[in-house]
Amino acid sequence: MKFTRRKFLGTTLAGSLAAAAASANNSGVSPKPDSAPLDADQHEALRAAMDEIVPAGDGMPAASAVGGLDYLERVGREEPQIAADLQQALDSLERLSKSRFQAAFASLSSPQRVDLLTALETNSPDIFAKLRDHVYESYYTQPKVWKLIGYEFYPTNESGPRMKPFDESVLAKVRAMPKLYREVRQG
Amino acid sequence: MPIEQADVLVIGSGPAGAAVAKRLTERGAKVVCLEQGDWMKPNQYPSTQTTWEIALQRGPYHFNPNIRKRPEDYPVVAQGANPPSVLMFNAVGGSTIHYTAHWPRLHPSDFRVKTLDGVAADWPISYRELEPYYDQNDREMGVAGLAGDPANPPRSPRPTPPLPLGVMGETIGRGFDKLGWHWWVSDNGIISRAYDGRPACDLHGKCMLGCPIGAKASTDVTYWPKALKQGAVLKTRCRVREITVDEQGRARGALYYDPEGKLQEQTARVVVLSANGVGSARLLLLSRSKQFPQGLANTSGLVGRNFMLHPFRFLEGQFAEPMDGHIGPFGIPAYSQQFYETDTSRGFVRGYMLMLERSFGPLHHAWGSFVGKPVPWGASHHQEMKKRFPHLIRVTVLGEDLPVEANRVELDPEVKDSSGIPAPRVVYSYSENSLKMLGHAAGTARQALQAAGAVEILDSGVIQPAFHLLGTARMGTDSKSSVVNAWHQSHDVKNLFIVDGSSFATSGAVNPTSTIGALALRCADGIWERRREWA
Repeated sequence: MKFTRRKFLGTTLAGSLAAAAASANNSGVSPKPDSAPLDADQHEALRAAMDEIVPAGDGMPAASAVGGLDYLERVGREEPQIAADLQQALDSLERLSKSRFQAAFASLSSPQRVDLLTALETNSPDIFAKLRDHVYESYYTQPKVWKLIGYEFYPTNESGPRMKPFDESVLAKVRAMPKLYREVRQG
Repeated sequence: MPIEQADVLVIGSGPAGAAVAKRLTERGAKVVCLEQGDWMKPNQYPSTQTTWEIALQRGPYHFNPNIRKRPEDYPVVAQGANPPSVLMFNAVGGSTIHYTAHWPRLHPSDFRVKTLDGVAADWPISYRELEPYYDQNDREMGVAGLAGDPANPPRSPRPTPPLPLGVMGETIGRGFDKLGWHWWVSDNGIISRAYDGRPACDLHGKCMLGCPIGAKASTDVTYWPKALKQGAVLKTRCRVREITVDEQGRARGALYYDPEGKLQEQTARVVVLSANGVGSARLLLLSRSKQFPQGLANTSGLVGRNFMLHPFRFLEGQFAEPMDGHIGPFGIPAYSQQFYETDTSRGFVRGYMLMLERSFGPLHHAWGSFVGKPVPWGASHHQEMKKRFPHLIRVTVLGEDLPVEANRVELDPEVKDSSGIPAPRVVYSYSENSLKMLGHAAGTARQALQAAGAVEILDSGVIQPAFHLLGTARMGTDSKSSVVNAWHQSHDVKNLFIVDGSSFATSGAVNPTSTIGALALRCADGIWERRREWA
């Protein structure tokens, strides 16, 4: 059986682990050792993109409203590959934007941005997946977001969650089963 | 600095090497262990940090050495129709640092696969011969669980009681009950009560990214403190290049690079190789000499062959009510072995286990969790995320892999590690039997989730193979069809023993670590009983 690249990305240990493998081994863009932080235009384009990927709604804030932009700029400075992933995605979006709307991505309306992100996802799934995953990372590592979705981190030196102790009675039905394993003659 | 000749040189400090070192120093042997990694610092584990989930994607704690790229790691080249993502860790404790700590045992039938089912090979030992060592290893490592499972032979009372099942465990249990299928609360190498000087699990979860309190049984907190107290010498950041032999063709010791990168030799009367199913085969193939031009212990030509990885598949059921899968210790809360034993009417031989597994946190859910299906972006994102987190129950399929000679570990002709030593290359393809098994298992896992009340089910499909490195120096009675005998002694080199996942004649359909530890204790007893031969 052959794995297509998409299949590979979707099916290893976790999507995230596979994406990491692809990022580490197969990226089309080599990180520059001194990747420059995003310029002002890219900064605004990233803000616009991340707020379409994780918009405000359903009682939740948009990605940029919880510090997502600062987070990605910081991580991009620390990890050149992430800066390269972001720049590749933003460059692709700008090219699409100029070609289709003759305008900068950040200046487009929300439906236009969604159109272009959808086009990127369809035509360059790997580039889009990295952008999406980095945006998700910038969002779901924020304690402000955790509070809103009911996630507790439980720091090591504090009490863990309260859980109902194991109750043996749940196994009553199984205990009544006959032996399931095969006996084997010794020798 | 090299020290005087040891009685026993152990290569690798993971679940096998640690058990051998502890058992033999207890008996009185002078043991030296060479470990290419270092001691981990538990207070620096990702599990202690709010950014912990990032370690699942990148950074120095990743499960895959090709991504982790620590100085002590070696690259693994992957090829074949299904090139694996080989997961392992190099440190004191080896891969027990980040294993799930699921602690099942092989079944009696797993040791008689050829006799019972006409495929693969029989082991040269039986379950009954290994059983006392399973018990000893359980006591040494510390296990939580419950005896009495009708799918397994009776076993001794577990050292500590079962960990909590959580909402998810009780929910899936009701599903299995509804179907009339077997299920049981798992044995886990995570202690539920203070035990042997270690604190009880405080249920924080995140266990696969390192347990900062020592409740998870990694050998850096179980065997090693005792082995060191008994006099074992553990030399970290020492990377073995090859096992050396004398003119009589006996193992003499090992050449290794010390922490300063200088080549040293450690000599010993007996050498025990425990560097995992990839690393051990690699070292044997690297150890070529005039007497052993194909590599050490390899006159059968089987070193590196019969490489097995358990076929896995993930199914996640979405429930209307919160399942809190991210809460509680990882391990495996419960499992079903309803389909473990062979039933040829299913269209394949051997069987599989369905494991209930906890999940990581919200970021991992958003990334696509274990099924690799990210939460959609855009206007529906928050609604979709709320459907998944914390509403998922994951059922993981772990199937038996059959040994196939073409699946193998060999040396890559080009890629080298940072010491200039050739890297291993793994070549792997799923067998038709494995694919049929995974197909069947996807159906039964789906049935179980539906019976438990899942409203939607996500399926990973056939995944890239990754888990459990087995079979590359297998045990057997015939020197033509195996690498080591029933005591893990090389058929070719009488004072060389190979014990770890590579020793498995067949893979069974359970996580292997408890079996690896049991085999290692038994191997150590065999070495000690024959100690006069090594003088």
